[in-house]
Amino acid sequence: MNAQMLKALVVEDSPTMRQLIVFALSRVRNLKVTEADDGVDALKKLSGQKFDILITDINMPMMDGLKLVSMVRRDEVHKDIPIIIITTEGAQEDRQRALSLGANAYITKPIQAPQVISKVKELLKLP
Amino acid sequence: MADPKKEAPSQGEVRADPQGRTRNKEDFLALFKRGQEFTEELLQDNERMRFQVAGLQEEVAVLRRQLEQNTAVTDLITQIKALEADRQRLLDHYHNVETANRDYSSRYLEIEEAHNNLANLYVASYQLHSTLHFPEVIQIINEILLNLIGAEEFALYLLDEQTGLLQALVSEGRPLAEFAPTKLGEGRMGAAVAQNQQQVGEKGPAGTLDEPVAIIPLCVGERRVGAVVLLKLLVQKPALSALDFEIFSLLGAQAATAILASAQQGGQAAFLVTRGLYEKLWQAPVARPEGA
Repeated sequence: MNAQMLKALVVEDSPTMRQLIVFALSRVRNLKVTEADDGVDALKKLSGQKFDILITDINMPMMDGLKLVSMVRRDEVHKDIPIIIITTEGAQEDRQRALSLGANAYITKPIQAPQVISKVKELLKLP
Repeated sequence: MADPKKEAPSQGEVRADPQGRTRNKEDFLALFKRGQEFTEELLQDNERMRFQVAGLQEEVAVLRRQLEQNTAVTDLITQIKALEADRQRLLDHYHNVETANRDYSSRYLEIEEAHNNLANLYVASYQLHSTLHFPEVIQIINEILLNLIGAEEFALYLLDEQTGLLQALVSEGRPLAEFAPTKLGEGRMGAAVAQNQQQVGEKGPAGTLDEPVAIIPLCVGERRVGAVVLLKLLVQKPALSALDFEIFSLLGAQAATAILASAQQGGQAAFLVTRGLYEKLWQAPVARPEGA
């Protein structure tokens, strides 16, 4: 029996970081990962299909992660999607802001694959 | 004439009651006879019992011999011993499996860590060679230092081969002007680059300009390209890890290659500070290891 395929959207302007996150998520079973360069690209991709989880950086050109979180929470289709934000340890204000806007969890840079996998599994309630 | 034997009664005989005496004698004889019969019966019983005891003793001896010779019993005893040995073997095996299980768990964690480290190295290497656009290469080196190492303050130096001067091209966390140029072979950084020898300070996650956290020379073979000077790690990063040293080694060789390749491709329009340097690098012969 095929398990239901889940979809994750990774929003990160740094190709290095994005590739690291995609690499980590490739180890979560039944999770298909889509990449977006920034908030605008992410909204385009969110409008085309339904995602199960969103992982986004905060500092990005065009549209930052805070604006993206706030817009996703107003979107009828994705208003309940779990959101993980990527922050630096020092950026506590940004983190608090993102959490107050509706982000569910955060991970800090430099990111570690087990940390990403564990947060994603926790929010998607995967074993 | 009177019989003298009849007339002279024996001692104790009562002459007056001859019939009573006869009765007593008969009683006595009967009693004696019963006693005799009883004794004979006892003797017979005794004899019979002696025979029975002897018979029983013989039976016991036979049974004892049978028991000693009975292979079924000895087989059972052997089986019990074998089963006890089996039980002990199984217990030992169980303990061995338990130990192996712990070893596997520990090895799994090690493999997991190695996998993550390899993924990071792969990403760093892949990104470094994903472009031939010089500014992008520099940006990628910056990202590797920021996101994989967790560096907060650092600078990327490049060597002007004409003047032999190492100059800071970009910096993070501190103004570029704070990173002074250094002659190749001079000072801590100049020496590290000249000898192509990584240097790691002993001041922990935060160093100084004079004593950085780490100096990573960037070289292609014998050709010196520059160096990364790492001054401070992010607050959540208390120390350099084994993976960081792997990334330093990767940067040392592959970042240098990527810089040279992109400089060759782009002709150095992007960074004035290195224009002369890269024009020179363009024309310089390819360095070969000695004896090659």
